[in-house]
Amino acid sequence: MNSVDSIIKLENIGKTYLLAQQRVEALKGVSLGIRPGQVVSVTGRSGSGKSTLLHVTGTLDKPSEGRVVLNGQDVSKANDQVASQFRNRTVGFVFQMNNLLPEFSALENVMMPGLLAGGVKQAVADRAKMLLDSVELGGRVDHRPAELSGGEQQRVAIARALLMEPPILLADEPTGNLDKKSADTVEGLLLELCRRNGVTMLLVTHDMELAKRLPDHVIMEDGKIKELGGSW
Amino acid sequence: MAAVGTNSSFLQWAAWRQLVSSRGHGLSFMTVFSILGVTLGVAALIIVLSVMGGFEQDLKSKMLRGQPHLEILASNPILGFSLNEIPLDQIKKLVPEGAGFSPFTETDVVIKQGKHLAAVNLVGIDLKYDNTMWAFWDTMVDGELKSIDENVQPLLSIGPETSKFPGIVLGEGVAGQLGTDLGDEITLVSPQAASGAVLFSGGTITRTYVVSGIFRSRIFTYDSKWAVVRLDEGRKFMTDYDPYLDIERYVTGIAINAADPYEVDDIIARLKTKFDLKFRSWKDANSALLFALQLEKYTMGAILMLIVLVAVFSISGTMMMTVFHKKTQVCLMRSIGMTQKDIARLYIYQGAAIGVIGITLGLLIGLGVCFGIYELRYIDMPANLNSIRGLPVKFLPLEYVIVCFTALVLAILGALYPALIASRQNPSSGLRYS
Repeated sequence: MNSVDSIIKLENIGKTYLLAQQRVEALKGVSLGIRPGQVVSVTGRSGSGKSTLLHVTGTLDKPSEGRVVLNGQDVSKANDQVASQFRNRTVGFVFQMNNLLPEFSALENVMMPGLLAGGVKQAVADRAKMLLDSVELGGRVDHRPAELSGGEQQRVAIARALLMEPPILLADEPTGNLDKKSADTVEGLLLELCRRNGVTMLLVTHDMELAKRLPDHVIMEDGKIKELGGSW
Repeated sequence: MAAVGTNSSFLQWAAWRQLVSSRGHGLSFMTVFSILGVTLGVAALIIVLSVMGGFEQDLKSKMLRGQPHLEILASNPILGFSLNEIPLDQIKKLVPEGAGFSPFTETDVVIKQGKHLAAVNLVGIDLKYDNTMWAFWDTMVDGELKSIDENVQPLLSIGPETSKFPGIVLGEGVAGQLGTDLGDEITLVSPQAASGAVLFSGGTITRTYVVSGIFRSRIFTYDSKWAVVRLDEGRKFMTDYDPYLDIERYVTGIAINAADPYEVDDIIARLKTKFDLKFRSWKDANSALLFALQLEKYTMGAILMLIVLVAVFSISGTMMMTVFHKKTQVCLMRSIGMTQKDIARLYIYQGAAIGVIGITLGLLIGLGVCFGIYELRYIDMPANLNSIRGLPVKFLPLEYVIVCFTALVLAILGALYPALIASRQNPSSGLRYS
């Protein structure tokens, strides 16, 4: 499990919050290794620590204890600059909702990580258009998020997550807010793009049907890994 | 691709887009009001400072109109000094920027006409010099100033018909107080003359003159207090007068008008290195008033800056609401790689943009109103201020720069706290319950 070639390596991760002056242990000694190209679902009941695991993995949050190693680099104690750079270059995120910045068009939303990284505007725009084409939104580049359906917004978010060609994609209930048809489209696109680009994906979901369709799975319970399934 | 977190143009673009695209989220209204607050404050400051500057300029021009820009006086001004010791040519050489030089005497005397008495400031001048600096020079309403050089026969002679006396020019107020008119014979008494001087001067303590002119400068001090005679007559009323003072060409002082009256301090500094004399500039003579004007200007500026300060609180409040309202968006931006510093800069740019828009509008409105007042004279003045003929306006570029810069700094400071709050948000917290 903790093989040296893991692209994501979590070592004995603990995460404790203070909520209303009460200590809440969201993660308790979680250890996990994920190989490059592996597509893993994370399931579990609400409050089992799925989202926390995803956020700690993606440097959005720091673990209270343990080590997070991404692409061979320990990021568990990385400063803001380094962690931000990791989020920009190494990790792509797709969240359940409110994925896009409402003031910007679909194209601008997709371009944003590239522009933030100081990329050449035209080159970034070309790649963003190509990605929007690949999620079948080539004709909606100038539309604001409010002018797109929920499924279309998620597809724009997927395109944005892949703009910087990150080796890791972290998805937190990406289809949780969509109707069945849109959810199927988004799910299909996610899996196809990950396969085609060799991206490692950790996908948090409540949808057990979706989880079963992914090759590997992690089941969380009370802040711990209850079960690992698939190729482990 | 280049390093993360240093792309200022991207952040400026993103900040601007967020600011102008907030319509429909209930924030645009507040942003507009924040901008209007800054606009109002800056415009009010510019208008008030310009009008006050205009009043100040107006007042200064009146101060300068009636009196010399600089008076060189003896260490003991009552005793005076000799032009033989301090030649006028030497003074002229030292003050090349001098526009006019006039030796003068100045003494306090009492004028008597019949039963009427008036205490006046008797000025003695020599008409062969440039006397344009004096209040009476071009304000004669009756008679002529040159008449002081002549011996004039009174209209109603008390003594022999052939008696003539030196001419004297009076301020309109003095003439009114004495109830005198052109051609009237009046008597000057010097209460300052020493008893010894009376013996040597042949009775100069009391001398008779004929009113040969009346001036109206519209400046109360001069009209109600001044009388003018020729220099050698004025000299006769100097304390400790004796006939040798005439030979020595004694004067109370030399009046100088400078090409630029605001440079008198430089002239004084230069003269002080050569002469052990006293110097009295128009600024010294009006120091209390000038200080009051300055104080009023700065106090008004500080009070009006409070409007900008209130507007800044409005910016701060608006941005705090934006930060809370857009918590998820801030976290989303963090998830794509923005650093804490980037988020802070994003909000500071927004505060600065609100400030710049407000300041620009305020500057345009303020200057527009000032131009309106200046050119079109829209404002009707009360009758008692009619002489001013409209509100005076002076354009003050330096003050405008200070106002705009201060307003911009305050706007940025107003955005600082919301920016810090936004930047310190845990990126995970805003995305956790999505």
